[in-house]
Amino acid sequence: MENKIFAGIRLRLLASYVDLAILALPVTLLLWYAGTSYNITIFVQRLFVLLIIWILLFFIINLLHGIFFTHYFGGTIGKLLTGLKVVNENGNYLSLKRSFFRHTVGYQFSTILFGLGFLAIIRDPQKQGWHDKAVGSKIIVEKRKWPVALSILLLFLILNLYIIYSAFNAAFSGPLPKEFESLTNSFQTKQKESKVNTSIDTSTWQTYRNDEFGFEMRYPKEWKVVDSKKEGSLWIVPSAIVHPSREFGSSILVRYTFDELVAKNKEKGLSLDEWMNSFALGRNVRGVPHKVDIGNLEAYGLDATNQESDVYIMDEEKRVYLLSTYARNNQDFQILYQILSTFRFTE
Amino acid sequence: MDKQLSPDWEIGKLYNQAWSIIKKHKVLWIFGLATAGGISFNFNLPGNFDSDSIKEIQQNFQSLPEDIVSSGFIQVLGASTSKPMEIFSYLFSAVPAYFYIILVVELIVIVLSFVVIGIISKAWSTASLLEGIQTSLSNGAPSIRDSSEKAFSHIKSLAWLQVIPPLVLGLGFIIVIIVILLLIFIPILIVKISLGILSLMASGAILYGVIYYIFSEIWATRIIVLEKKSGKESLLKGYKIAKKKTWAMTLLGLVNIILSFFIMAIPILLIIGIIFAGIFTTDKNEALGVGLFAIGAILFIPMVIAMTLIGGILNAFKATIWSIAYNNIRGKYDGK
Repeated sequence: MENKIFAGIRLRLLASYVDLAILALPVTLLLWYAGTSYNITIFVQRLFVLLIIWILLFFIINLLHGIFFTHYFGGTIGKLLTGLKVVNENGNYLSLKRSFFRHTVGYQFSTILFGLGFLAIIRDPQKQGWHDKAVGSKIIVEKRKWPVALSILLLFLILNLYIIYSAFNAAFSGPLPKEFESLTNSFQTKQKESKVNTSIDTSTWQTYRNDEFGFEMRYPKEWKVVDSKKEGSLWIVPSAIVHPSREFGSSILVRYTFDELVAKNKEKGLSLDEWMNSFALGRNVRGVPHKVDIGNLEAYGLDATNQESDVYIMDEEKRVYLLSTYARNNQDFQILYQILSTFRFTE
Repeated sequence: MDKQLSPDWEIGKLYNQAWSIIKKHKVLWIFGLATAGGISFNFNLPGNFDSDSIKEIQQNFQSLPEDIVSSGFIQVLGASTSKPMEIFSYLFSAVPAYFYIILVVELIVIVLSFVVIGIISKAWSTASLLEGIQTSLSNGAPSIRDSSEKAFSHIKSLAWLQVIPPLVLGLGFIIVIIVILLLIFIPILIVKISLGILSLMASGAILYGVIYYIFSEIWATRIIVLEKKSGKESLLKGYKIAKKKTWAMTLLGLVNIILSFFIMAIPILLIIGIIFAGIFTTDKNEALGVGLFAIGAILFIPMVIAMTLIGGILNAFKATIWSIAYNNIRGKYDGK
C-alpha cells in the first residue's frame, strides 16, 4: 500500500460524473420519448414512466450498483473507467457489509455539515473522506486512465445534451404546443361572450326535432337540415350547400349514433367524464378536452383549430352525441355558435 | 466512604471534565453531529429568482386569459367549469393505475431503505461517539477510523435497543387506545368499569415504561459499548441503574435541558424576534422595521449553520457528561 498513489478529489469527482452521465442516458432517452408524444395525455403518461425510471435509476440501481460493483470489482463503473480502485487497508476489495456501509451510512456521514466529509479528501494525506475513514477504505490510482474517463464523460455529456435538445425540439415542433395552448384555456373562468354577437334574432328560426333520439336544435331559416338517418347523422348548413359531406362550407355535423363508441359505452355505462378520458386516451385527439356548457347541458369540447371544434354530449341513456362545427367566416361562426347553444334533449 | 452519603457525581465536576474533553477532541463534534440526525442542508435554489423575474412570471400568468382569445367555439362557449386543477386531474386520470402502483411500491422501498439505513446510522454514530469519548477519558486521542471500527460490533445491539423497546411500548399504547374505545362504545356497566380499571392500569404501565425506557436507555447504550453486552441484557442492567438513580438522573437531565435551551433556543428566538419586530414596526417606523427585518434575515442562514454545529457539539458534550457519570457508577448498581 505504501507505493500506491491515492486518488484526489478531482479524479474522484471525474469518476462520479462518469457514473452520473452513464446513468442519465436512459433518463434522457425517455425524455426524448416523452417529447415525441403525439398528444398531451400520452405525454403525461410518458413523463410518468420517466419519473418511475428516474427514481429506479438514481435511488435504487445507483445504490445497488455502487455497493455490488465496489465489492466485486473494486469500484463503480466510473471509478473503473478512471482507473481507480476502492480497497481496504490490506489492499483487498471491501466486503459486502463494508461496501454497503460506505455507500449508505458513510456517504450520509460525509454529507453532514454541508458535505465537509467529502471536502476532507482535499486535506487528508491519504485522500480519505470521512466515509473512507469510517470503513477503512482507500481509493488508489491503479492505472492512469483519466484521459479515457474524461473522453467517455464528454461523449456521454454530448450524447445526453443532444438527446435533451432533440427531445425539446420534438416537443416544441410537434403537436404538443397546440395542446398546451388548449390546456391554458382552462385558465379561462369567464365565458368569452364578447366574441359572440348575441344580438342575432333567433325568433324566426326553425326547429329540428329528432323524436327517435329525443333531441332538438334550432337553426336560421336561410339554413337547412340534411338528415341522413341511415348514417345516424345530420348536417345543418347554409341552404346553398347541396351535398354537405362533399362541399366545402360552414356546417354543423351532428352524429347521434356514434356507433362504435356508443355501443361500447352502453355496455360499460361510463359517465361523460369517464367516457371522455377513455376516448381521449391513446387517440390522436386534437386539443385538450375540457368541460363546457351547452345551454344547461354538461359537455366536453375540443378545439381542433380556430375554425373547427368538436362538442361531446351524453344523454341519460349514456348515448354520446358529437357535434362537429366548421366556420368559414366570422359571420357563420356567430350563427354556428347560436345553433350549438340551442341543442336540447326533449322529454 | 459510604455510598449512601457521598454522591456518585457532582454536576459541576461532570460539566468541567466533559467540557475539557469536548474542547480538546473535535472529532467528537462530528459524531455528535451524526447522532443529532445527520441532516444535510442544501441551500441551492434553482435558477436566479429575484423579485423582477417573479413579477415577470406573474405577469405571464395574468396575461394568459387575455391572450388566448382565439375564435375557437369551445373557448367562446366558455370553459365554465374548466380550471387548472380540473385539467390536471383529467390528465393524471389518463395515467394507467398500474403506473401509480409501481410508483408507490418504489417509494415504499425507498422509504423503508431510508428507515433501515437511518437505524444503522444512528446505532453506528452513537457507538462511535461513545467509543470516542471512552478513548478520550482514557487519555487517548479519538479518531474517526478507530472509533468507527470499534463501533461496528455494537450496531446490532444498539439497533435492537432503538427499535424493539419503543415498538413494544407503541404496541402497548395502541392496545390502550383500543381498550379506551371499547370503554366508550360498550354500553354494559360492569364491562365499562372493568375496562376503565384496565385502561387506567395499562396507561400507568405505559407511562412508567416510557419514562424508564428513556432513563434506562442512557445507561444501556453505554453498557452495550463498554461492557459489550446484548441489547436486552443492557436494557435490564440499565433499568436497574435507572431505578436506583432516578432522582439524580432527573436532576442532571433537567440541567442538561436548561443548558440546551439557553444555547439552542435563545439565539433562535432572538433572531426570529428581530424578524417579527421588523415586520410589526414597519407600519410605525418604516426605516427601523426594514432595518430590523434585514438584520434578522441576514443573520438567519449563518445562524442555521452555527446552530447545526453547536447542536453537534452540545450532543457530544451531553453524551460525555453521561459517560463520565456512568464511569463513576460502573458495576455499582447493575449487579444481581
